[in-house]
Amino acid sequence: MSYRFRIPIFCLAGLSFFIACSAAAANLPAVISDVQQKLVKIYGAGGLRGLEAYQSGFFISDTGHVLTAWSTVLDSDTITVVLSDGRRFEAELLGADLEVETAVLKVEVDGVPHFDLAKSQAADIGTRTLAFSNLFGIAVGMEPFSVQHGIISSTTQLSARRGVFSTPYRGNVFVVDAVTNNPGAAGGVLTTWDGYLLGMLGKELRNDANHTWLNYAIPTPVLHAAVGRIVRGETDPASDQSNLQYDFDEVWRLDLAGILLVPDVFDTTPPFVDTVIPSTPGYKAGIRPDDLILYVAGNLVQSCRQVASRLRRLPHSEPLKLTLMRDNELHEVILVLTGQGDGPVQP
Amino acid sequence: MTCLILLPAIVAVRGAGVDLPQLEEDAIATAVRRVAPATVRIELFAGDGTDLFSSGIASGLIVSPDGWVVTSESVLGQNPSAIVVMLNDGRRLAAQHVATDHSSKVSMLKLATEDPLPAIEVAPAEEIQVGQWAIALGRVFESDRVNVSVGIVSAVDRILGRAIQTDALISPNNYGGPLVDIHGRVLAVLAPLSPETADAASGTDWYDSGVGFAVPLERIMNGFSKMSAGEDVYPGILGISPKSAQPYDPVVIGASRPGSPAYLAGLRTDDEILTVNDRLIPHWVALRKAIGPVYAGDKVRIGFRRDGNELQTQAQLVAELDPFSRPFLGILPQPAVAADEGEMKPAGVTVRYVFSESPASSAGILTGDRIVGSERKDFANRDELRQFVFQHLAGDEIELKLFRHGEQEQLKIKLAGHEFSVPESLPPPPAIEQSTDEESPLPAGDRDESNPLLPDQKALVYVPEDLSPDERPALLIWFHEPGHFDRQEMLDRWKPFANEHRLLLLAPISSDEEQWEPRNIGWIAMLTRRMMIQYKVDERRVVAHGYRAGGAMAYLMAFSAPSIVSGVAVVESPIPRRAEVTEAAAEHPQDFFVANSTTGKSANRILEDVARLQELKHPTVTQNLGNDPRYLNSNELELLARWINCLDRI
Repeated sequence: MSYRFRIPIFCLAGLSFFIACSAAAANLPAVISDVQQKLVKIYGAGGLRGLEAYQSGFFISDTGHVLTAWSTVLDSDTITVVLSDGRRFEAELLGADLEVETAVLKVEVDGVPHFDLAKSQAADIGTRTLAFSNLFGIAVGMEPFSVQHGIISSTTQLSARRGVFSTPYRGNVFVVDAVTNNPGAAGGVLTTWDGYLLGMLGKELRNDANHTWLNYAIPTPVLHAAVGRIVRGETDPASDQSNLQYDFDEVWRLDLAGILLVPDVFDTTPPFVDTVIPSTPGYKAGIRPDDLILYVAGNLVQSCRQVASRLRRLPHSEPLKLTLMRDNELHEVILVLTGQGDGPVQP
Repeated sequence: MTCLILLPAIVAVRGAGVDLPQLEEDAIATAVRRVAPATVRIELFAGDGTDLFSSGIASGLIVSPDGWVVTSESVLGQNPSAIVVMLNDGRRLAAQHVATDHSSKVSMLKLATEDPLPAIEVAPAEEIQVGQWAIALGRVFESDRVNVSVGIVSAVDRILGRAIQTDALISPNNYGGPLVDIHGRVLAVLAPLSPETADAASGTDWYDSGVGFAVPLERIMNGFSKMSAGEDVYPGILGISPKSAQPYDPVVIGASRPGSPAYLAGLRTDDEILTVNDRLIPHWVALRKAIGPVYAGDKVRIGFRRDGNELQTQAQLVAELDPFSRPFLGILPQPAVAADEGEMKPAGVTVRYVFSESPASSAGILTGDRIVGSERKDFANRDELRQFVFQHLAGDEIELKLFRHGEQEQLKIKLAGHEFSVPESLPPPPAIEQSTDEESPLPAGDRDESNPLLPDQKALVYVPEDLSPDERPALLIWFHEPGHFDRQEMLDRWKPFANEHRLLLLAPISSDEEQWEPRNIGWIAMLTRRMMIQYKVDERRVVAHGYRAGGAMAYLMAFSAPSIVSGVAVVESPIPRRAEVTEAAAEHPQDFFVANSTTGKSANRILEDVARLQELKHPTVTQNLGNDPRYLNSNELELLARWINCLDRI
């Protein structure tokens, strides 16, 4: 190519790079504006004893179905929904999924922009997100929702409490590093920077493990399944395998293996072994007094109570793996209850 | 023409980044992947107590492939019996807590491992810039993925110069984990530090607030050789106190504690510190920031100014200072200049008594000598002489200039330690000999005082009727045994003593028959201050005195108001458990007189108390009352009076 043509082409290439770059940045206001049209403000019951009377929600169909969090706000004779253009409607509660803690409302409106729950967007730790919510009820009428930015901090199983009570949903959530845990934010949306729905902002919960406020969202596929159940009128969520209950005489107890722990006198008595009766499976497996049980069947346990709770879910017809700490060394043992007094299988 | 077309293209290409947000996301993901293998999960077992924010799962960082892990000190706050570290490949290793860095609030663990662990790259601390990317990692949610928060470095040199600040969300979800830059190099270790208090976990209240702190790893690793050998490291102390109370005033030394690093480096009162390690120090706040990150055992170069000259020295900081051990010259001073010396300058200090077998007596100081200064400075009064002497250690040699019968003398004196015994006889208590113009007589005799705000707080006051405005009396605060209070009995008992030994009596009256109310101390201190001003009480001779339960009040008042109470005399009284016994300080020296019997209720405890007071370097005189518990007899009261007389000794 002759010298004369190279420069203009180079110029054009440069310009198109430039346009591409600023296009990405210029997109954000458009993306945000687009999402705002799908969002609704919800007003209902509350306003007493610190429970707010407002929260967030979003359209999931173009005929006015609204998805939001299942909460005390909906426990009202009149639920009012305010659209992004300021129109007010009274909403009907169609149903709720109590495990996922999500609810579907219906307003009589047509042709509204909405999110399609069937379309789920890939996202992982580090994905940049936008969180839209009417936190603190700041926005009224046609005022847009507040927008926050952050990244997906973790994808994990929810282990949370509201006050003293655990919440029923124990499935997958996104944890974000924006402070989305605010009054009125439940039912808001978490999206990618392109405006695709990642999930619904959750309720004001504390992380069970360390009592910090949890900033989380329930992923779109989980919402999709929940909505399906609501629409079909199914009320019982599929039960979790781990909640299978065995009868008392079918489950593991350490004393069956000749192991006695220290007396459980405190709220969180560490599970130290107190006595091991000779010639029992526990003794033959090598467990000794002063051993500290750290993991039961691979699950971390930090108290006698937690040990008992784990054991209750395991049938003693199956071998039990315990991980112990002795003299600052980890030891793994497998306990097998034999029927007729033969020696247990050594690990 | 060609250039003109080319230029915008070049500028456009430079300014473009294709999809910049995506590039940033990718860079962050790469950085995370780089340091994730070294970010570990820590599981804690069998701790004591319950801490609301602690769950038994935390994060840590592998700092050396042979098995060293750092985490936040707060993570180990409940003294777990067992610590397990889980690597990113799922392997679990037992860990031992080997040492703690008390300056950074970071703990060092050792893993028992044979295979080398993932390595990290450490970012040099001085390269850390405000505004750069800061990525916080933890491993508390899923054991096979790290949890991430992204922000920037908000500030450097926080928390006394020990930490950087970030706006990434920092919480128990990542305490102990690393804060890395966009290249995946470790900047710092995340910890719940607080600018307000010094506890290991005090910053937990600020979690997820947008204000988070982390300690630069390079700093922590400077102490690695000590910590890996099992030795804790501590923040370093210099040992100086300011002349001015304003934090933004120039650093002029008020006192450098004898024996401290500053003292051993040669720094003294009135020196002005100009630089530390060649860094300019315009005020005290800057000094704290310069010294804050330095560890005990480390040396700092100090540039200072003395008498107009700029000098250099080096100090080796320590973890803690020894209590102030009062050096002894061996004289009792007159409080102010004698009238017949009149206008002579410098005013100096007249000696009213020389202790036998003391440094003063060995050097030949005589009663009546007027000590006017040291080699370098003049003394305007006895407080300046005292400050000068207290800037030295026992065994130091000082030079004093004095006037005797109009002639100037110069003496070299080697100071001794603070052990002394009350002499058998003493000249009468001191008085100001110059006459004043004050005509109005001060209220004398006995009277009742009460707190206008809380009328149940009362006291009986006695002032000798013949008290002259020229006198500098002592003040005895007498806490009677709670119970029956007989005003006349009290006066009969104390009036002769007060008259003879020239002291004022302030006897608070216990409102409760059974016990004293410590809350009364506030009002008693106020009343004491008022009397001190009104009657020109010698502030070196304000004594809190009590018998049994009264003695407990005397102790409490002394430790809570050391600037008022300079002497404590107790009979059959142990130190109350709620009292915070402070170590001896040059600013407010306190003397103790402890009398008890061998078979009294708390005899053993009192012996321990005396040992403790002596350990804290408070000069303590003891008096054995024999077998049976009782109050002081008349001889012992005379001894007490002489002890009070000696309280202003230098």
